[in-house]
Amino acid sequence: MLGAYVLLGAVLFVLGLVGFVVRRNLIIMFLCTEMMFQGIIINLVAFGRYPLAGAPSFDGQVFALFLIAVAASEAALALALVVLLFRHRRTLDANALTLLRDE
Amino acid sequence: MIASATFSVLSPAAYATLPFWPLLGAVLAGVLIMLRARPQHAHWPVVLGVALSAALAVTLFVDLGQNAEVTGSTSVTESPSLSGRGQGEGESGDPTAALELGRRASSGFSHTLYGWISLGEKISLQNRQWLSVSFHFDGLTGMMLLFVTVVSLIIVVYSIGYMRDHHGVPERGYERFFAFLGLFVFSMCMLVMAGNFVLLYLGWELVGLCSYLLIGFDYHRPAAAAAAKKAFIVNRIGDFGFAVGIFALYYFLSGCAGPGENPLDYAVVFKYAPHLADADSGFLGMSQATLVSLLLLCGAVGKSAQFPLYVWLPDAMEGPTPVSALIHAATMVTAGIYMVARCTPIFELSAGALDVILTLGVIGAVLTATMALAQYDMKRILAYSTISQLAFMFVGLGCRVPDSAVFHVFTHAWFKALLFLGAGSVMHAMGGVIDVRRFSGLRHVLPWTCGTMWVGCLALAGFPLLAGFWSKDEIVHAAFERHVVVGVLMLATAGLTAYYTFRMFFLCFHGKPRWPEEAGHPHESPRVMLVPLVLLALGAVLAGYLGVRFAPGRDSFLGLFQPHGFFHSYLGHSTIGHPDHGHGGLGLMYLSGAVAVGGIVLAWVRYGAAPEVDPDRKLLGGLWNLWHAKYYVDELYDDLFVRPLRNFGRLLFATDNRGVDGVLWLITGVPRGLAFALHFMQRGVLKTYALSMVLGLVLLMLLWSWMA
Repeated sequence: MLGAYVLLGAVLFVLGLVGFVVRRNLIIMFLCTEMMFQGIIINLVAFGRYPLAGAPSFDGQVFALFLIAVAASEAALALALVVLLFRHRRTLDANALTLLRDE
Repeated sequence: MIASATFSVLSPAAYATLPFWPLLGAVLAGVLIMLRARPQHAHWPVVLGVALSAALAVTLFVDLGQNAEVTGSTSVTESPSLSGRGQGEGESGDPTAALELGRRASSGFSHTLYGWISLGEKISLQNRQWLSVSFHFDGLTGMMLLFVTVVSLIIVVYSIGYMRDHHGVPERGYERFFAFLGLFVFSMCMLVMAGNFVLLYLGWELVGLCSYLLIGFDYHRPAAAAAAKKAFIVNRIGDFGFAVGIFALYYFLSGCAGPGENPLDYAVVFKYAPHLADADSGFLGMSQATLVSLLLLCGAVGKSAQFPLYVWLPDAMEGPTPVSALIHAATMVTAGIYMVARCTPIFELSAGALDVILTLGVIGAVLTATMALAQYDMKRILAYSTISQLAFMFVGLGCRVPDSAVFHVFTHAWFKALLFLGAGSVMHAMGGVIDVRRFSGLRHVLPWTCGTMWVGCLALAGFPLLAGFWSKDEIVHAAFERHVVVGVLMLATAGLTAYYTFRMFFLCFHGKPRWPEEAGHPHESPRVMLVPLVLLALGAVLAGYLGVRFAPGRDSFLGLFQPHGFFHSYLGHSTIGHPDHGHGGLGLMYLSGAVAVGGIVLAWVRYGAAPEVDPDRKLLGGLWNLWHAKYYVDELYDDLFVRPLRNFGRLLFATDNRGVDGVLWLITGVPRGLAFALHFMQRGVLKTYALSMVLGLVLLMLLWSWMA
């Protein structure tokens, strides 16, 4: 069973990764990072439920709860930043935001 | 050492506060600067501080004198045997000399403020050895403090008038000037009162610092800044030797000091000094006493501006005139003489070191007296005469009569301060011009300055019955006693002194009245400057009488006064003791008086009308030019030391700048180049960063699986 869950997690992670690199809209990119988070959380729960050695435990699920909390607060902050950025620059195109470049 | 003697007027703790009042004044003046107060009244804290310490010094002087009378009863009965000791003085094998040394070591007593540096727990906690902040009180301290503080007070008061323009508006930096003066008086008092060699060194360096600060007071003028640096650096050469001398003293004597005895305290050093006489120092076969004496002498030569380190003093005249009077004539430059006199118990153990002192003194006296003959800058003439007089004191020290040398220090302080302040008054009236060729006949314009200067010049020339006569005469006597050639040279120098002093005086105050256009309408200085001049003139007349005894019943006129009076018995209660004076006789007294008068008369004949063409220059030609160029000593030093050192410095600078820094540039070039190569990737696009992170992650994972 472990293999299927890990595969699901990996697929979610890679989908998020590809989306982050390919898409240009900042909100979409942000959603992609959330997807990568979910892939990781599935992995955690899977390894907790079907450990490679020893008895199954709830550790993975506890970590998953914490990660979801962190992701939620991070989402609140990041979305606020995105809104501010939009007000300032009137665009959400990641390729247009190149202030941090070396001339 | 705690001797039985105590003070009757004030407690030792009260006297120990003496140096700190001017410091407090200086700090308060500094606070006024910080508060941006108006500078008009910035002199008050310093004037009051110096006045308080002057009052304390006078009280201390009287108090120590009473002590001397109480304890002096024993030394009176002792004195016949002392005077009969002859030339064997100072050899450690001689029992009377050992007695004398022991008595001298315990003369005076010290008051410890607090332990400063612990030298470790040698035997037990109670017997721990300290370098302490302790003050030594004896006749020499009292005498030095008396004139240091009183002359300083007079000069500080004078500065109130001098450091303003004709409308009474303070010059730029007025409050800074007074803060430095206060700091200087503090340093000088510390130097004089110090009870051990390390504290002495502290005061020694502090006066050097104050000298630097005050010479460079007008630091925006390049000449003043250069002179300040020169004074500091030349002094540093001497101070190096002085510091090594103190190290050597500690090295040689720390083994002797018993429990509870601090190895660098005066009392301890002088108690065990006889051990140095015969011990080999392991350096060129010198005895330890000779080595220590010569090293200490280095410091004295630098600080007291002796040949060959005198070159800083004439340049120091770039400072304001009160500074020249205070530091470079009356007090600071006497520190070297004071130190040698204080260390008499060490110096007298080494005939070789005394000969060196004598030789340096004779060379310096003759050399600088001839230089003074051919100068036009009034302050520089006085500066060269200062060096020459200091050299006289050195001769006195070298002839084993340190009390006469200190006597000359004492009288010299009064009249040389007077002369400098008079020159300052002239400069004040002449709008800053000090070249004697550019004015003459000032006696009609500056009557008070002229009168007091006249007294000062007479005293410096050694005119009979004035201060300089008595003290200079004692040194000339001792010089004749030592060797007739030395005596004749000293007498000739005394004649030259009279001649160049009055050359300056006549060029300045006689002849037809004329002055440069900078002067505008010259007028006499304000009263705050004239009263100090009059007080110093009184000192220049009367100071000498402290050192003579009134002996009625002698038939001749000068014979009414016998040498070696109150001053010398007062100094007897110090580390100097009672040196063995020769009795040169009345004839020499008349001779030196005649030489002084002769010099003055000759100056009158040649310069009485203040001729605009210098008659000496016409007469002497090349020799005069050599004197005018100061024997090219500055140029010689420049070629021999300054320029090679500067080139060496440039070489080192280039090595550092090109060589060492070059290697560092090469090393830093590697990351710099890498950064240059990679900076094209930093385009500010979020996606490329993300992509490179992902690629990096993949690469790491590939690497990991390949390793596994």
